[in-house]
Amino acid sequence: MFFVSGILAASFLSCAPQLKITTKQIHLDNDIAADNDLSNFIRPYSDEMDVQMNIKIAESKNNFIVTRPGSNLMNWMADAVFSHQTKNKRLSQPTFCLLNTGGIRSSIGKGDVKLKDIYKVMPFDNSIVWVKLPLTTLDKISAYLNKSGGEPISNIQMRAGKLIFNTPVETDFFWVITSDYLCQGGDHMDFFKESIEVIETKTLIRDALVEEAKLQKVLINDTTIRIQ
Amino acid sequence: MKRRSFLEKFTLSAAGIMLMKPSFAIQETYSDRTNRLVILHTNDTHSNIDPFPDNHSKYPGMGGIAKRYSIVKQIRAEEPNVLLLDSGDVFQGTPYFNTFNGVLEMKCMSKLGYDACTMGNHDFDIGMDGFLKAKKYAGFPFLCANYDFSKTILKGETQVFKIFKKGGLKIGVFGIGVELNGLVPRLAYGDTIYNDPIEIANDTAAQMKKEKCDLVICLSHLGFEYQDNKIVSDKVLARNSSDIDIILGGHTHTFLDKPVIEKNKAKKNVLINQVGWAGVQLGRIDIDFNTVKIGSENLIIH
Repeated sequence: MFFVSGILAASFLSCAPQLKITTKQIHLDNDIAADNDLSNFIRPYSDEMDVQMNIKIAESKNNFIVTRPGSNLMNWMADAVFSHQTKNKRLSQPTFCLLNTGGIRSSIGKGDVKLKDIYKVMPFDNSIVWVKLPLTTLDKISAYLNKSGGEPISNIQMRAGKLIFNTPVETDFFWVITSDYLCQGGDHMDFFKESIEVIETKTLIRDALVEEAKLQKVLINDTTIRIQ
Repeated sequence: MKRRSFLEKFTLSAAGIMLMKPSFAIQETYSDRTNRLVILHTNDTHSNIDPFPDNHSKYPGMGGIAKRYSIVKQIRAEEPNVLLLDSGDVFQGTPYFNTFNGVLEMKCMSKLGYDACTMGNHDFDIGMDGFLKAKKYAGFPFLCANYDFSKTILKGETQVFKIFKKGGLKIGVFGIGVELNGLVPRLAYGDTIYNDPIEIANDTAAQMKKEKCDLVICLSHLGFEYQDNKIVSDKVLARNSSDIDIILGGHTHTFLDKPVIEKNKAKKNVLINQVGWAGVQLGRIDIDFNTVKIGSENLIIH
């Protein structure tokens, strides 16, 4: 930077125009034309991708969005993963599902739901894990949800800052369905460190979402705020 | 502040010219613009090659890298001194990334003529080996000052900073990344050592001032601001900095109506900007080096 000495600067600035910095946040709206050369360059990639991704898998009668503390897309995603795993019976029944709001990377618009829409919602190659946690961790999960402001949950709800199981447990542990990312310390869900047992399903969350969307045909729109 | 004789002359002669100019607005010519630096910047583009679909609930039809290229081309035709920068998270977010593993993003950014980029947490998403494979197609450097990659396969693949010469001015640019622990799977960042962002940023900026840079820009992926002030954000960094003039941020996907000014340790102004995500906006900062005095209270944004 050029810093002239204080006195020089003062005298300089006293006669200088006031304009120093001009800034603009340029909005890339519809009225801006796309560059032809680059569009042509992208097209073969786009075509190759579309062959794989433009397959219609379901329909959506609503805009599915993400807003804390809860929203239809957060509910849909947690429910889809929970429902998918409930069908794939293991030794125990899962108690609830907990995912992360930050892991939902896009909304789903009204209309046809294509494979690429699910990829946008869940682009990460995270897989589903079952985590057995002692009942004592439930308060820690409540505290986490209170602090974060809301994460996608299924088969459980929060009232006045306390988690309540939809399916009560009679044991001193419960099974949570979540992602390997969260179980391994992602988003600082430290309560997963207290796990008694972890089952890795190797099923990608995205694949579960695609299967559930296909089964539903029209995405189930549940706007209940589960964290209150 | 140490005085630079070249710049002193430059400033004074510029002042002389200014004084000779009539006080009313005159038609600007291309040569009038040679003392102007235009910084264009993006952050968190997240593999958004195409515009959002027309049925998108928030950004219908917005964004798209080919549109961004149109604007960049137009500005380069008008302005001789343009820097195009990105603050990280180039990867992840559309099926383009899943299909081509980041190669298309790198190729497109190279075609746009990006001058530099820093690494965001999502640029680790296919591991450092995946990043390295895509990076082969990047015609621009990745600037990472506080990630120590010396024990990883990225050793020697990134730079701490780069100095650009534009219109007789030296612009120092460096990159600062976010804490990876808890954000990125351990396997993906391996033996990367995370160094304190404030300490490294101040050391790097001071070094660039020593190299007589006229302007120091930090490409940051720290995030704009957090409720918890203990978490280092762009605002916290600005307040605790000494030699940074501009912070171009990312990570928190923050849309700002206009850049924000924070006072640094010496009560001088630091400009912070961020343009949301997905490439729906392109930030533009024009600095008129005939008149500007960044770091003073006189800095005014129009």
